[in-house]
Amino acid sequence: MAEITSAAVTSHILMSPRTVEDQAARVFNGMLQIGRHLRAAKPDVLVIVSSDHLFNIPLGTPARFLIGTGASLMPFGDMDVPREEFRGYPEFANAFANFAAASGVAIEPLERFSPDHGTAVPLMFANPDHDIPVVPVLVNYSRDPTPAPNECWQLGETLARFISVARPATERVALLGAGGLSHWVGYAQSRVNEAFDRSFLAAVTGGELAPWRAKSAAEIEREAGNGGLEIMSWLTVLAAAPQSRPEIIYYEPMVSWMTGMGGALLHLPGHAAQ
Amino acid sequence: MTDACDGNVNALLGRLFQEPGLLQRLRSDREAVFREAGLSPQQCAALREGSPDALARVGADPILRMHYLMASNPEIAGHVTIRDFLDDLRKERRGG
Repeated sequence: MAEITSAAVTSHILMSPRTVEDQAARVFNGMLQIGRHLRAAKPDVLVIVSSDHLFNIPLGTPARFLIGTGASLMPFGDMDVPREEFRGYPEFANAFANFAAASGVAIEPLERFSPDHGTAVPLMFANPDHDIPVVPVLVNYSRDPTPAPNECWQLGETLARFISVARPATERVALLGAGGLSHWVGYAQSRVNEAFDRSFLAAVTGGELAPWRAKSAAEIEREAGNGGLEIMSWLTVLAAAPQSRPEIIYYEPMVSWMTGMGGALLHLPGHAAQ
Repeated sequence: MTDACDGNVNALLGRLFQEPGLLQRLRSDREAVFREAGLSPQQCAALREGSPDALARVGADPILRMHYLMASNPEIAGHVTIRDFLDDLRKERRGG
Protein backbone atom coordinates (compact mmCIF):
# COMPACT_ATOMS: atom_id res chain seq x y z
CA MET A 1 0.00 0.00 0.00
CA ALA A 2 1.13 3.52 -0.74
CA GLU A 3 1.41 5.97 2.10
CA ILE A 4 0.33 9.49 2.95
CA THR A 5 3.61 10.94 4.16
CA SER A 6 2.64 14.57 4.77
CA ALA A 7 -0.55 16.59 4.87
CA ALA A 8 -1.60 20.16 5.51
CA VAL A 9 -4.38 22.68 4.99
CA THR A 10 -4.11 26.38 4.20
CA SER A 11 -5.79 29.44 2.79
CA HIS A 12 -4.94 29.94 -0.86
CA ILE A 13 -4.54 33.64 -1.48
CA LEU A 14 -2.16 36.51 -0.89
CA MET A 15 -2.77 40.18 -1.53
CA SER A 16 -0.93 43.45 -1.19
CA PRO A 17 0.83 43.66 2.18
CA ARG A 18 0.58 47.46 2.24
CA THR A 19 -0.83 48.67 5.59
CA VAL A 20 -0.91 45.08 6.96
CA GLU A 21 2.79 44.26 6.76
CA ASP A 22 3.04 42.36 10.07
CA GLN A 23 -0.03 40.23 9.47
CA ALA A 24 1.03 39.53 5.89
CA ALA A 25 4.48 38.46 7.06
CA ARG A 26 2.99 36.02 9.58
CA VAL A 27 0.74 34.55 6.90
CA PHE A 28 3.53 34.29 4.38
CA ASN A 29 5.90 32.66 6.88
CA GLY A 30 3.16 30.23 7.89
CA MET A 31 2.59 29.26 4.28
CA LEU A 32 6.33 28.82 3.82
CA GLN A 33 6.43 26.48 6.82
CA ILE A 34 3.54 24.45 5.47
CA GLY A 35 5.16 24.17 2.05
CA ARG A 36 8.49 23.07 3.51
CA HIS A 37 6.76 20.47 5.69
CA LEU A 38 4.97 18.93 2.73
CA ARG A 39 8.01 18.58 0.54
CA ALA A 40 10.39 17.54 3.34
CA ALA A 41 8.63 14.16 3.26
CA LYS A 42 9.90 13.76 -0.32
CA PRO A 43 6.53 12.98 -1.91
CA ASP A 44 6.21 11.28 -5.28
CA VAL A 45 2.91 13.04 -5.85
CA LEU A 46 1.10 16.04 -4.36
CA VAL A 47 -2.69 15.88 -4.30
CA ILE A 48 -4.19 19.33 -3.79
CA VAL A 49 -7.88 19.79 -3.02
CA SER A 50 -8.99 23.32 -3.85
CA SER A 51 -11.42 25.17 -6.09
CA ASP A 52 -11.62 27.01 -9.37
CA HIS A 53 -12.99 30.54 -9.44
CA LEU A 54 -14.84 30.27 -12.75
CA PHE A 55 -11.65 30.52 -14.80
CA ASN A 56 -11.83 26.88 -15.92
CA ILE A 57 -15.18 25.56 -14.78
CA PRO A 58 -18.08 27.57 -16.25
CA LEU A 59 -21.03 28.68 -14.17
CA GLY A 60 -23.70 25.98 -14.23
CA THR A 61 -21.31 23.04 -14.47
CA PRO A 62 -23.19 20.24 -12.72
CA ALA A 63 -20.20 18.20 -11.46
CA ARG A 64 -19.64 18.28 -7.71
CA PHE A 65 -15.99 17.32 -7.99
CA LEU A 66 -13.49 17.56 -10.84
CA ILE A 67 -9.92 16.42 -11.27
CA GLY A 68 -7.15 17.71 -13.51
CA THR A 69 -5.94 14.78 -15.57
CA GLY A 70 -3.54 16.54 -17.90
CA ALA A 71 0.23 16.05 -17.98
CA SER A 72 0.76 19.80 -17.94
CA LEU A 73 -0.75 22.29 -15.52
CA MET A 74 -0.01 25.81 -16.74
CA PRO A 75 -1.27 28.41 -14.25
CA PHE A 76 -4.05 30.64 -15.52
CA GLY A 77 -2.10 33.68 -14.39
CA ASP A 78 -4.75 35.54 -12.39
CA MET A 79 -3.45 37.68 -9.53
CA ASP A 80 -0.10 37.83 -11.32
CA VAL A 81 0.72 34.18 -10.62
CA PRO A 82 3.65 33.38 -12.94
CA ARG A 83 2.71 31.18 -15.87
CA GLU A 84 5.28 28.51 -15.08
CA GLU A 85 4.10 24.97 -15.70
CA PHE A 86 3.55 22.36 -13.00
CA ARG A 87 3.69 18.70 -13.93
CA GLY A 88 0.44 16.76 -13.79
CA TYR A 89 0.09 13.05 -13.10
CA PRO A 90 -2.49 11.65 -15.55
CA GLU A 91 -2.14 8.03 -14.47
CA PHE A 92 -2.82 8.82 -10.80
CA ALA A 93 -5.62 11.27 -11.60
CA ASN A 94 -7.47 8.97 -13.99
CA ALA A 95 -7.05 5.99 -11.69
CA PHE A 96 -8.48 7.98 -8.78
CA ALA A 97 -11.45 9.17 -10.84
CA ASN A 98 -12.18 5.57 -11.83
CA PHE A 99 -11.72 4.27 -8.29
CA ALA A 100 -13.99 6.98 -6.90
CA ALA A 101 -16.67 6.25 -9.52
CA ALA A 102 -16.61 2.59 -8.51
CA SER A 103 -16.98 3.75 -4.90
CA GLY A 104 -20.02 5.88 -5.73
CA VAL A 105 -18.23 9.25 -5.78
CA ALA A 106 -18.38 10.96 -9.17
CA ILE A 107 -15.33 13.03 -10.13
CA GLU A 108 -15.32 14.58 -13.59
CA PRO A 109 -11.97 14.42 -15.41
CA LEU A 110 -10.70 17.75 -16.68
CA GLU A 111 -8.06 17.15 -19.34
CA ARG A 112 -7.29 20.84 -19.76
CA PHE A 113 -6.94 22.67 -16.50
CA SER A 114 -5.06 25.93 -15.93
CA PRO A 115 -4.80 26.32 -12.16
CA ASP A 116 -6.00 29.69 -10.93
CA HIS A 117 -4.75 31.20 -7.67
CA GLY A 118 -6.75 28.67 -5.64
CA THR A 119 -4.45 25.87 -6.74
CA ALA A 120 -1.38 27.70 -8.02
CA VAL A 121 -0.62 29.88 -4.96
CA PRO A 122 -0.40 26.94 -2.53
CA LEU A 123 1.67 25.06 -5.11
CA MET A 124 4.17 27.91 -5.22
CA PHE A 125 4.88 27.18 -1.55
CA ALA A 126 4.60 23.39 -1.62
CA ASN A 127 6.24 22.78 -4.97
CA PRO A 128 8.53 25.77 -5.65
CA ASP A 129 10.81 23.79 -7.97
CA HIS A 130 7.81 22.48 -9.91
CA ASP A 131 9.32 19.00 -9.73
CA ILE A 132 6.64 17.09 -7.80
CA PRO A 133 3.82 15.73 -9.98
CA VAL A 134 0.52 17.33 -9.00
CA VAL A 135 -3.02 15.99 -8.95
CA PRO A 136 -5.51 18.85 -8.60
CA VAL A 137 -8.91 17.92 -7.17
CA LEU A 138 -11.55 20.63 -7.35
CA VAL A 139 -14.69 21.10 -5.29
CA ASN A 140 -17.25 22.95 -7.41
CA TYR A 141 -18.48 25.63 -5.01
CA SER A 142 -20.20 27.51 -7.85
CA ARG A 143 -22.59 24.64 -8.33
CA ASP A 144 -26.15 25.10 -7.06
CA PRO A 145 -26.55 23.38 -4.70
CA THR A 146 -22.96 23.36 -3.52
CA PRO A 147 -21.55 19.97 -2.50
CA ALA A 148 -22.29 19.29 1.16
CA PRO A 149 -19.58 18.98 3.82
CA ASN A 150 -20.39 15.32 4.26
CA GLU A 151 -19.95 14.69 0.53
CA CYS A 152 -16.49 16.25 0.76
CA TRP A 153 -15.75 14.08 3.77
CA GLN A 154 -16.69 11.00 1.72
CA LEU A 155 -14.42 12.24 -1.07
CA GLY A 156 -11.54 12.44 1.40
CA GLU A 157 -12.23 8.97 2.77
CA THR A 158 -12.33 7.64 -0.79
CA LEU A 159 -9.00 9.30 -1.55
CA ALA A 160 -7.42 7.66 1.52
CA ARG A 161 -8.78 4.25 0.49
CA PHE A 162 -7.50 4.73 -3.04
CA ILE A 163 -4.00 5.53 -1.78
CA SER A 164 -4.13 2.62 0.63
CA VAL A 165 -5.38 -0.13 -1.66
CA ALA A 166 -4.79 0.93 -5.25
CA ARG A 167 -1.41 2.65 -5.41
CA PRO A 168 2.07 1.12 -5.64
CA ALA A 169 3.56 0.18 -2.27
CA THR A 170 6.48 2.55 -2.48
CA GLU A 171 4.51 5.63 -3.51
CA ARG A 172 4.69 8.60 -1.13
CA VAL A 173 1.72 10.96 -1.24
CA ALA A 174 1.43 14.50 0.09
CA LEU A 175 -2.02 16.02 0.64
CA LEU A 176 -2.90 19.69 0.72
CA GLY A 177 -6.36 21.16 1.30
CA ALA A 178 -6.59 24.78 0.17
CA GLY A 179 -9.10 27.57 0.64
CA GLY A 180 -11.03 29.55 3.25
CA LEU A 181 -11.40 30.73 5.86
CA SER A 182 -14.44 33.06 6.14
CA HIS A 183 -14.80 35.50 3.26
CA TRP A 184 -17.41 37.10 1.09
CA VAL A 185 -16.30 37.28 -2.53
CA GLY A 186 -17.99 39.85 -4.77
CA TYR A 187 -19.76 41.82 -2.07
CA ALA A 188 -19.34 45.50 -1.24
CA GLN A 189 -18.48 45.08 2.41
CA SER A 190 -15.17 43.48 3.34
CA ARG A 191 -15.92 41.09 6.21
CA VAL A 192 -14.26 38.35 8.20
CA ASN A 193 -16.12 36.21 10.74
CA GLU A 194 -13.30 35.68 13.20
CA ALA A 195 -15.52 33.79 15.67
CA PHE A 196 -16.47 31.33 12.96
CA ASP A 197 -12.85 30.88 11.90
CA ARG A 198 -11.62 30.30 15.43
CA SER A 199 -14.44 27.88 16.14
CA PHE A 200 -13.55 25.87 13.04
CA LEU A 201 -9.84 25.89 13.86
CA ALA A 202 -10.62 24.70 17.40
CA ALA A 203 -12.68 21.84 15.97
CA VAL A 204 -9.82 20.94 13.62
CA THR A 205 -7.25 20.75 16.42
CA GLY A 206 -9.70 19.09 18.80
CA GLY A 207 -10.71 16.44 16.27
CA GLU A 208 -14.34 17.42 16.80
CA LEU A 209 -15.40 17.58 13.19
CA ALA A 210 -18.64 15.58 13.30
CA PRO A 211 -20.79 18.71 13.79
CA TRP A 212 -19.01 20.36 10.86
CA ARG A 213 -19.61 17.35 8.63
CA ALA A 214 -23.28 17.56 9.55
CA LYS A 215 -23.67 21.21 8.57
CA SER A 216 -25.28 22.14 5.29
CA ALA A 217 -23.37 24.21 2.77
CA ALA A 218 -26.04 26.91 3.14
CA GLU A 219 -25.33 27.07 6.87
CA ILE A 220 -21.60 27.55 6.25
CA GLU A 221 -22.26 30.18 3.60
CA ARG A 222 -24.57 32.07 5.94
CA GLU A 223 -21.91 32.24 8.65
CA ALA A 224 -18.71 32.42 6.63
CA GLY A 225 -19.66 33.74 3.21
CA ASN A 226 -19.47 32.18 -0.23
CA GLY A 227 -15.69 31.95 0.14
CA GLY A 228 -16.08 30.29 3.52
CA LEU A 229 -17.48 27.27 1.70
CA GLU A 230 -13.87 26.49 0.86
CA ILE A 231 -13.34 25.04 4.34
CA MET A 232 -14.77 21.92 2.71
CA SER A 233 -11.40 21.51 0.98
CA TRP A 234 -9.95 21.29 4.49
CA LEU A 235 -12.59 18.74 5.52
CA THR A 236 -11.73 16.61 2.49
CA VAL A 237 -8.07 16.36 3.48
CA LEU A 238 -8.87 15.94 7.16
CA ALA A 239 -11.09 13.00 6.22
CA ALA A 240 -8.22 11.48 4.26
CA ALA A 241 -5.90 11.74 7.27
CA PRO A 242 -8.13 10.87 10.24
CA GLN A 243 -5.24 9.77 12.47
CA SER A 244 -3.39 13.04 12.05
CA ARG A 245 -2.66 15.54 14.82
CA PRO A 246 -3.45 19.00 13.45
CA GLU A 247 -1.33 21.94 14.53
CA ILE A 248 -2.44 25.45 13.65
CA ILE A 249 0.51 27.28 12.10
CA TYR A 250 -1.08 30.65 11.44
CA TYR A 251 -4.34 32.52 11.71
CA GLU A 252 -4.96 36.15 10.86
CA PRO A 253 -8.35 37.83 10.39
CA MET A 254 -7.35 40.00 7.43
CA VAL A 255 -10.17 42.39 6.68
CA SER A 256 -8.11 44.29 4.11
CA TRP A 257 -7.60 40.99 2.26
CA MET A 258 -11.33 40.30 2.66
CA THR A 259 -10.64 36.94 4.30
CA GLY A 260 -9.68 35.01 7.38
CA MET A 261 -6.31 33.43 6.63
CA GLY A 262 -5.35 30.17 8.30
CA GLY A 263 -3.21 27.10 7.92
CA ALA A 264 -2.37 23.89 9.76
CA LEU A 265 -0.01 20.97 9.55
CA LEU A 266 -1.56 17.55 9.93
CA HIS A 267 1.12 15.54 11.72
CA LEU A 268 0.88 11.89 10.78
CA PRO A 269 1.68 8.93 13.03
CA GLY A 270 5.12 7.55 12.23
CA HIS A 271 6.25 10.70 10.48
CA ALA A 272 8.39 13.06 12.52
CA ALA A 273 7.35 16.70 12.67
CA GLN A 274 9.37 18.75 10.23
CA MET B 1 -34.77 42.76 -8.34
CA THR B 2 -32.66 41.23 -11.08
CA ASP B 3 -32.92 41.99 -14.75
CA ALA B 4 -34.84 39.50 -16.86
CA CYS B 5 -31.80 39.15 -19.12
CA ASP B 6 -29.27 38.58 -16.32
CA GLY B 7 -27.93 35.55 -18.19
CA ASN B 8 -26.36 37.96 -20.66
CA VAL B 9 -24.38 39.62 -17.87
CA ASN B 10 -22.97 36.36 -16.54
CA ALA B 11 -22.23 35.16 -20.07
CA LEU B 12 -20.25 38.31 -20.78
CA LEU B 13 -18.40 38.33 -17.45
CA GLY B 14 -17.60 34.63 -17.85
CA ARG B 15 -15.93 35.38 -21.19
CA LEU B 16 -13.80 38.28 -19.98
CA PHE B 17 -10.77 36.20 -19.06
CA GLN B 18 -11.40 33.47 -21.63
CA GLU B 19 -11.80 35.22 -24.94
CA PRO B 20 -8.59 36.69 -26.33
CA GLY B 21 -8.83 40.43 -26.75
CA LEU B 22 -12.15 40.89 -24.97
CA LEU B 23 -10.60 42.39 -21.84
CA GLN B 24 -8.71 44.93 -23.90
CA ARG B 25 -11.84 45.79 -25.87
CA LEU B 26 -13.78 46.26 -22.65
CA ARG B 27 -11.21 48.80 -21.56
CA SER B 28 -10.98 50.59 -24.90
CA ASP B 29 -14.62 50.48 -26.10
CA ARG B 30 -16.87 49.07 -23.44
CA GLU B 31 -20.09 50.37 -25.01
CA ALA B 32 -19.44 48.27 -28.10
CA VAL B 33 -18.78 45.23 -25.92
CA PHE B 34 -22.01 45.82 -24.00
CA ARG B 35 -23.95 46.21 -27.24
CA GLU B 36 -22.54 43.05 -28.78
CA ALA B 37 -23.38 41.14 -25.59
CA GLY B 38 -27.02 42.17 -25.92
CA LEU B 39 -27.17 43.89 -22.56
CA SER B 40 -30.25 45.85 -21.55
CA PRO B 41 -29.99 49.56 -20.59
CA GLN B 42 -30.22 48.59 -16.89
CA GLN B 43 -27.42 46.08 -17.29
CA CYS B 44 -25.24 48.57 -19.13
CA ALA B 45 -25.82 51.13 -16.37
CA ALA B 46 -24.88 48.60 -13.71
CA LEU B 47 -21.67 47.67 -15.47
CA ARG B 48 -20.79 51.32 -15.98
CA GLU B 49 -21.27 51.89 -12.25
CA GLY B 50 -19.20 48.78 -11.61
CA SER B 51 -19.85 48.35 -7.89
CA PRO B 52 -20.62 44.93 -6.37
CA ASP B 53 -24.10 46.14 -5.40
CA ALA B 54 -24.85 47.39 -8.90
CA LEU B 55 -23.63 44.14 -10.42
CA ALA B 56 -25.70 42.16 -7.92
CA ARG B 57 -28.81 44.08 -8.93
CA VAL B 58 -28.53 42.75 -12.48
CA GLY B 59 -27.92 39.19 -11.33
CA ALA B 60 -24.14 38.91 -11.75
CA ASP B 61 -22.69 35.88 -10.00
CA PRO B 62 -20.55 36.96 -6.99
CA ILE B 63 -17.35 35.38 -8.31
CA LEU B 64 -17.91 36.93 -11.73
CA ARG B 65 -18.48 40.29 -10.04
CA MET B 66 -14.95 39.90 -8.73
CA HIS B 67 -13.72 39.13 -12.26
CA TYR B 68 -15.32 42.35 -13.46
CA LEU B 69 -13.90 44.39 -10.60
CA MET B 70 -10.44 43.01 -11.36
CA ALA B 71 -10.91 43.82 -15.04
CA SER B 72 -12.35 47.29 -14.67
CA ASN B 73 -10.87 48.74 -11.48
CA PRO B 74 -7.07 49.17 -11.50
CA GLU B 75 -7.05 49.90 -7.77
CA ILE B 76 -8.58 46.51 -7.00
CA ALA B 77 -6.34 44.74 -9.51
CA GLY B 78 -3.35 46.37 -7.81
CA HIS B 79 -4.49 45.13 -4.41
CA VAL B 80 -5.59 41.59 -5.29
CA THR B 81 -2.21 40.38 -6.48
CA ILE B 82 0.61 38.21 -5.20
CA ARG B 83 3.35 40.21 -6.92
CA ASP B 84 4.79 41.64 -3.68
CA PHE B 85 5.69 38.08 -2.62
CA LEU B 86 7.22 36.78 -5.82
CA ASP B 87 10.84 37.62 -5.00
CA ASP B 88 10.65 35.86 -1.64
CA LEU B 89 8.88 32.87 -3.19
CA ARG B 90 11.68 32.49 -5.72
CA LYS B 91 14.10 32.15 -2.81
CA GLU B 92 12.30 28.93 -1.84
CA ARG B 93 13.62 27.28 -4.96
CA ARG B 94 16.74 25.15 -4.83
CA GLY B 95 19.54 27.57 -5.46
CA GLY B 96 17.07 30.43 -5.15
